[in-house]
Amino acid sequence: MPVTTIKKKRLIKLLGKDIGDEELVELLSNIKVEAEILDEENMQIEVTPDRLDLLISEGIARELKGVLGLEKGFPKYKIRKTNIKLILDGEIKFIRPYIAVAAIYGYYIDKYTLEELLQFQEKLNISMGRDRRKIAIGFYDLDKLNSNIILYRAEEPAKIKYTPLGYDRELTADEILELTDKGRKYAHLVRCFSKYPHLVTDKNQTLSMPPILNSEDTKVEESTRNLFIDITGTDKYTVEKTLDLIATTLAENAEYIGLISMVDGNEVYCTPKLEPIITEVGLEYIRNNLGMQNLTQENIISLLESLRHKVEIVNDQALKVISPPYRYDILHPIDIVEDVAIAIGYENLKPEVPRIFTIGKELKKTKYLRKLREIMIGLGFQEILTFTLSSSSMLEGMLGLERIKHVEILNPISPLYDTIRTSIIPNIIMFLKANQHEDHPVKVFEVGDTVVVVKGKPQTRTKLAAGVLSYKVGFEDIQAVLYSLADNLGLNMKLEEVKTAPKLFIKGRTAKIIVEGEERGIIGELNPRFLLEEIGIEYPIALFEVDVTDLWEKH
Amino acid sequence: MLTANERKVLEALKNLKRARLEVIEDNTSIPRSTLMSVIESLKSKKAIIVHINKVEFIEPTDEGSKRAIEGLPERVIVEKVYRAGGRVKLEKIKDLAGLSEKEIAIGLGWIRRKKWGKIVSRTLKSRILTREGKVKEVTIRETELIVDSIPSKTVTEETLEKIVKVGSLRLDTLTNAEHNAVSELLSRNLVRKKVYEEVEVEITSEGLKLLLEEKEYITAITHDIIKKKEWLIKEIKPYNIKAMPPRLYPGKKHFYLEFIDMIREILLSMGFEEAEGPIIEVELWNFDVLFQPQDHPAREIHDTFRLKFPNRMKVDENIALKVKEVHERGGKAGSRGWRYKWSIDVAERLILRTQTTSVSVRFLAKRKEPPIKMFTIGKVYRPDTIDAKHLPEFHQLDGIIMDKELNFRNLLGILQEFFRKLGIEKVKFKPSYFPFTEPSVEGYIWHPRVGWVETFGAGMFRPEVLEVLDVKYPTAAWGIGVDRVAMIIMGIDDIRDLYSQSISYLRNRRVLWG
Repeated sequence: MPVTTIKKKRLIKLLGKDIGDEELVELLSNIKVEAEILDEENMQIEVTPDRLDLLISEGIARELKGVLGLEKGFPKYKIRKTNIKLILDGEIKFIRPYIAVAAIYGYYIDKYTLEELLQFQEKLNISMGRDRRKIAIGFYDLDKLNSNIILYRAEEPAKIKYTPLGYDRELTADEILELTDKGRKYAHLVRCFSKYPHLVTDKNQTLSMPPILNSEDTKVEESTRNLFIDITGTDKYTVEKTLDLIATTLAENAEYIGLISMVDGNEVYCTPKLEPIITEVGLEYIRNNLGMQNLTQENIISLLESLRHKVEIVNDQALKVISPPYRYDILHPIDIVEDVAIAIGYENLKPEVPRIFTIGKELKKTKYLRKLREIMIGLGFQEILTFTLSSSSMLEGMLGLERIKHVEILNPISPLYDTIRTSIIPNIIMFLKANQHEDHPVKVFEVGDTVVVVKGKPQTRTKLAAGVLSYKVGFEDIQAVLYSLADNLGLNMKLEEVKTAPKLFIKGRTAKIIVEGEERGIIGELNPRFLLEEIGIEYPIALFEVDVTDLWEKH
Repeated sequence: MLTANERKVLEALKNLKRARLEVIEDNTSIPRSTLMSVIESLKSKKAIIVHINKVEFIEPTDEGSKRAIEGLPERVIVEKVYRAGGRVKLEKIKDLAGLSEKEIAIGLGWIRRKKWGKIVSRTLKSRILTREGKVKEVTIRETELIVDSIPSKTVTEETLEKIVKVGSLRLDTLTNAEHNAVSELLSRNLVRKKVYEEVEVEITSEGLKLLLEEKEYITAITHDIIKKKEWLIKEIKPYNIKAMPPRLYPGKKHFYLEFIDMIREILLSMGFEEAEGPIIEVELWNFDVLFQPQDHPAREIHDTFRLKFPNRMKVDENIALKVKEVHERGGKAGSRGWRYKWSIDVAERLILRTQTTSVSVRFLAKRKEPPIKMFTIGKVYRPDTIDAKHLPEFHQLDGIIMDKELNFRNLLGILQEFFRKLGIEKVKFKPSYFPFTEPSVEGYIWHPRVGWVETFGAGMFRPEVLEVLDVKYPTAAWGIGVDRVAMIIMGIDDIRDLYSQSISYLRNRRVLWG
């Protein structure tokens, strides 16, 4: 979830009402913002990914004004046409095809505002922008531009040359990608093209090389009064909607939003589009989904207005909800239902256990495994619980690879956890190793899932493994346990000799377990050489493992 | 007056005079747990003297085990540098060797000490263009590591490998060279010392005397003694009833699995039906059916384990088609959709499931007749590094209810009821966001020991999800982090204790949460 830091004083000033820390944190928790007071000045906030407009004081203040009843309904902002023009070059369509721009006039920037604004930009770049791949945002000081005509074009890297943000000399495009931090971090987004995106005035003043780095020349500073904003990206819808979100949010603290003419070949249009989100929703739909039959049309309208929607009455059964442009999280009437619930306050929704008559039923597997576990416990074994994540080198080392294939994880956190176990035997052995100096005998078992790959497909197998480590223990000791288990479960089981014993076991003291005519496991005494030299265990171990998958279906 | 076991031990010691516990165990076949109390009793009778010797062992630390496999930092660095041509700038080493800053510093320190390479600085002149357009000469200092050859394996490395392989080494069996190596390993925190106690028992003259005297009493009553009425002639020896008996360890359920069994019982008592699903899942069921867009950050490799082998599996075409429609344009659900190009290639990728909600939706794809109350408890996986709060695998409980007239308040009611049955009286609901539910809620439970703790996410399945599954009625869904709830209720602060590798931890836990 996106996290940012905002200035408490700024928020209070924008809100126009003083609120104590504790009350503020509680209020915010009711509008999907998790806040934590860091110190006198700063507050850390975590927002849900559907409400990125709440990542800056302007957006939070706007929402709180509604909740507190200071200002309800559709937020007001002024819009004016400007004489700024942005021309799209045809070739850019193959590189980073979409752009939308806006101007914000009378946005007075001080030190605190600048800090918040830059964080807002960065957090949107990461979350909405999928780390600039999908969209990237640039802010510029509008008054520093040397022309009203701006070009968005594809340019040969050698021809792009400007002083990047934070530098004191001009660099070429390739130098920027090699020498600057941002350049190195985001080079992969443009390197694969022969030309790079370039935002530049017709008088050759570079604004930026999207999505990498802005120019020092057009930098936003504490003295900035008017902003120019660009969003470039690979997804038209996200580019336009994010611009709507930014423009309408900053407009809370500005004089007006400036519209900019976009010239794309023969097509001419303006951005930002500032399209409200319109949803028609039935009153019954809201009432039924919340289980609140007594909500009146009037109630619902007032609740929605407190979350800044404009509501028109279609008839006595339906409403037309006009949501501000930054609310493009609303995809369906159900999202309006949630806003009604939030406006009511979750703490005011009375939980009610539904009267639905059903009969509880556990899985046959659960029941079977419980019986099996009870028998093992009756035989004096301690149940253990270990990881299903395992190490392929350990599985291969202990069990060999001849017959059983394991899955391979593409991005393991460590070589110790790069697969899912195919057997519980290694877990039993490692557990016994860790406890070899404890009181003997150590008798343990585990029942759990394993995964083997059969004909290229992963298959879950449920297995039981049990082992005994003691000063003196042998094949017969564990064999007695297995037979007792099989008898009590009513399984038709026998042991058969193995032709070649896995190196884990002693030849002549290991056997295949055959259940209902099917090979389902192995039993044996562990080989001392293997124990001492490869694992580091100084005491004898006898163990067995049996695959119990689907045996519950036979009962 | 000796018990049968005491007699056995003394008889063995009569020949051995002084012996280690293991030897006595072997000679008498008395299990260790019983033997300890026999020894105690003999000691109180002054029949034996117990000598306790401390034996020092060396064991690897976690870091040591890792380093034995991956190599010590200095070795990793010299090998990489040698392979990269034998000459690398210091600041490039981090990327090259794949080590942390701290490990690089340690590695370079040892390279210098072991003279495995040379660190050479030189100054270079370079010309740059200033802001004013003048050419200016600046000096740049460059430091490089030079490696001429790959050094052969040191005793330190061999010793570390040996210790890791064998698990622990007795300190008094080491050679001189190994001793030095162990000092270095100890100072580098790659191994640690552990002291075990070795018990030796010696028979006293009093003990020998007891052995001779003991003839006239009945110690153990046997079948023969009863039948032959020996108890009429001989006295039955009294026991020291205050002596401690041998310690017994019953077979027990694992305490955490017992907790999970209890959760299952609660849900069964509330009328829920249990289900299960595969832990290796296609993204379709883990994400796409749940209306999670394909470029959602949770689907990236930082948050989801993906499989390299096998890496994909065919999915149900019918479902895939509906998912595509719903993601791209909202389908027939009256939604706007996510408006992007959906790809079946992504949906067919295999992953370790990140949530058990995949089981809930798989269940609904097959069963659509109301009413339904279903739950599942199973392992889920996330690429988190292991610490007191995080594990890469943990348990999740998912539940759904579907009925003709189900509403959001019913969901809150069921959750509150579930926690009440678990003994949690206070539950708090806050608005939240999940791509697959609306309205969505996150829940906190209150416990006097820890206060409010976030433990679950819930909501009503979105119409986009229900459309794909062809479900006609409202469906409430929730997911609860079972490990966290168990920790709160059982008073456990470190999540790793739920999967403890220590038998004594498991043996010593009380059966009811203690």
